[in-house]
Amino acid sequence: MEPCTPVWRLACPASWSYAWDMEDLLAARLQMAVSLGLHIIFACIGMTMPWLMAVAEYRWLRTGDEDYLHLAKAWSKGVAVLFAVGAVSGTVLSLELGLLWPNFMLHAGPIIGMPFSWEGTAFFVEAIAIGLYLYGWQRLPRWVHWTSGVVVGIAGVVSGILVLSANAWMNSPAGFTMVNGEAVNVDPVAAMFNDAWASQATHMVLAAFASTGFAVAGVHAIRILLGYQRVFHYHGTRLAMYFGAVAALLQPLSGDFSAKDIAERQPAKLAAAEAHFHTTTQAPLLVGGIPDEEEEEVHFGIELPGMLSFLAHSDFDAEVIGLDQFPKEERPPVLVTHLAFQTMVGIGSLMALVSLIFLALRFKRPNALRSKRFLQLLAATTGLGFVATEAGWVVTEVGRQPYIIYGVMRTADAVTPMPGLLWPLIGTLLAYAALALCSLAVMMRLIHNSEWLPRGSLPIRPPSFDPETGVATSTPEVGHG
Amino acid sequence: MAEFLIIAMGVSAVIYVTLGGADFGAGMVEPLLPEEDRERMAAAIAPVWEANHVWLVLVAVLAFVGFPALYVDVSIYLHVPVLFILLGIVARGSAFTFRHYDPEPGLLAPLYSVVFRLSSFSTPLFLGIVVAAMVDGRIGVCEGGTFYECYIAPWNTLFGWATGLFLCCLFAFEGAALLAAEHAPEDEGGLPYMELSRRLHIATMLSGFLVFVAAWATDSPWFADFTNSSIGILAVLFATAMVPVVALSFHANRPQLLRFSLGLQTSAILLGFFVPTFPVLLRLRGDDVVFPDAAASDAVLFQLTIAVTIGLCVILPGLMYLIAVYKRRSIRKREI
Repeated sequence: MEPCTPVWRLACPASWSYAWDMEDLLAARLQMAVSLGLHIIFACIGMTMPWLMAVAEYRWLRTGDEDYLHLAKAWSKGVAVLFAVGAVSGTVLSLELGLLWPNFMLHAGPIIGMPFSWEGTAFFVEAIAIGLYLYGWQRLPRWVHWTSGVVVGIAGVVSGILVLSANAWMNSPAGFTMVNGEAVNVDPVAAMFNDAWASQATHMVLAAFASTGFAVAGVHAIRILLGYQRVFHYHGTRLAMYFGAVAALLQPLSGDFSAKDIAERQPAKLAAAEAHFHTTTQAPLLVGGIPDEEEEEVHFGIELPGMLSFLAHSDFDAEVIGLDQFPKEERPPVLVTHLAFQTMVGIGSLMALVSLIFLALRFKRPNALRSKRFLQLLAATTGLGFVATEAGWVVTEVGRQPYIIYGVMRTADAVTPMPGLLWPLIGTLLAYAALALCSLAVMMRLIHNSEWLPRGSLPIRPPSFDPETGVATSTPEVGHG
Repeated sequence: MAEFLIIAMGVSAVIYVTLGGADFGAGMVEPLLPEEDRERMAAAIAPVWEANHVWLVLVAVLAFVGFPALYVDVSIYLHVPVLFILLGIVARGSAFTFRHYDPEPGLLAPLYSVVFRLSSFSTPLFLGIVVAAMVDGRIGVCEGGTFYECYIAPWNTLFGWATGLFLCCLFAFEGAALLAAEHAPEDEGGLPYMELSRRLHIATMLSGFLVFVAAWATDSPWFADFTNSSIGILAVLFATAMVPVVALSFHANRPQLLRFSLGLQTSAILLGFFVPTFPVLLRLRGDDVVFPDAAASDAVLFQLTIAVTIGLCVILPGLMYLIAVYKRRSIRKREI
């Protein structure tokens, strides 16, 4: 393994062997990983929080319960910060793709341009609607204001789904034929509706809702445990957990759909994720374990016989293709993919379990939702969803290596010819580290401050309500805080 | 259809430079503002800056879908200045948002402001450098050169820096005009901004002249293109002819007229800058990227045209509603 240079030795597991004689390629991959890794968190929150916000505002509009308004306002401040950072980091990505992978963009740009151009529209709509929502509390009729919040949510999810189409195309290229290294007969529609899109987009959207739902519920639980026993925190945990729980319970189904899809289209990815070195029938499902790529075996794993065959092909006796079917230079890095996969599945299962507990308590013993024990459980799972999301993204990206377009173009052939990519990487690392720290600090202070949202910031006089039914009886006028 | 897309790209670029440019300019002139007007500045740009920004994304997307060679060659040979633009965009947007929303910024407050102002300046500077390098014919395939010779020297020219400076002045001018327009004409508070705009207007004209001198002095192929292009000369003449209108708006204290004539001038300048080089989209040391040869296949262009058309039908009414909601001065006055 001599290609490891001293600088990178620490970050250089033996499994990534194919990349190491090209330090620029490594730097480009790391820079992309950092940029996307940060953006994906903001994007997840951007897809989910507007829905939470809109539901809280809806509850306020229907019931006049000011705690819901407080919640919507507090959440909207978080959305404002995270959306702005997500928007600029997303703008960066649209140009960074070219800076780092020009050869990929030269060939892939026109083919996958369609989802990107629609995504541009969705992003625009999102930016307009969020401008209306955040600054329009005092200017818009209340239902128009609420609608703008819903539009933000819809546009966010649509954006996410469209971007996923482009990523799915990299896993399942379609809509062109390669003739002498040139893509001809480009059909953007076929490229957009590629085979991997449905499964990937479903998985990602559910991941966004589950991880953000859990994170928000966890933050409110932490605040309650810290002694801020405010009603809006209890409302917050409950609303966020509805979203989180439903998504986390659907996620295993979507994961199964994805696994079957990958078994068919990208057997090397599934084999790397499962550290499945040898093609067998009745393939066992591996739990834990440290794969050794030199010896092609796994240490310390637990094997559940026949389960992998069942998961991949719905048949305990089916044959599952192992890594031995691929020459070494065609294999994805096994260690990273496997560990990331295990992390994702482990956390996903835990979140599904917590979701079951939540729903059981909600319908059988609603008072237990306020118990210290349950709040501690929520607090403990606060950021886990994002860890799982990052891990899942590592599985799909690293598991596709050494290709950037699966089976068509290698990552090494896509990277920019400009040397010295270490420096942009260092610059990006510093900038994004500062960005992440500042975002975290601002969010923590916002969360702390939201306890005392000044009365003046509450927008509008509460509507009149029928005390019997709790239904609004008049449309209040727009007031000034 | 390729024509439609190149026009769409041009229009997006013009809108970005006029609307987004004013946001940048507001950041540049911020140090000159009294404390209470900073709030007003922030309130003026906060609801719209993200939407204004999307025009740049639109230019990038149209470029890589419709004219991939243009996007790719700019990405490769202008990697360094584009990277500075990106860092500036991230730093500026984040610093602005953090400053606006951080409830207790404490020691970070001056840092946010410094980052916001510096990146408001550096981003248009490097944007100008990139734009100049695109028509300057010095970038391109570079066999055996050092890193400096291949990836820095081609844009590190007098012409490039002059264009960057010009763009900074233009954006600052737009920013000052935006702030002036935030005040009603009868409101005395707007007068300092009209005065500032007047000075920046002179600075913009001087730096614009410097761009021509730099292009001529460095033997830029753009200068030859320009002098041979009647449209280019006409566009610059038109921009010059607008100067009396701008002067009138100063004289009569009409900030809205100022913004309108400034928008026309900006469009004419962009037209005058890019049209002389057309149909060359990107002048390279080797083979230029030429319109329409560089366009993607018809199937791609067709889909892209549909997407852009429908997209604009959705976006434009939304954007107008957004602007209408926030620019009604009567409401803003009451809130401040």
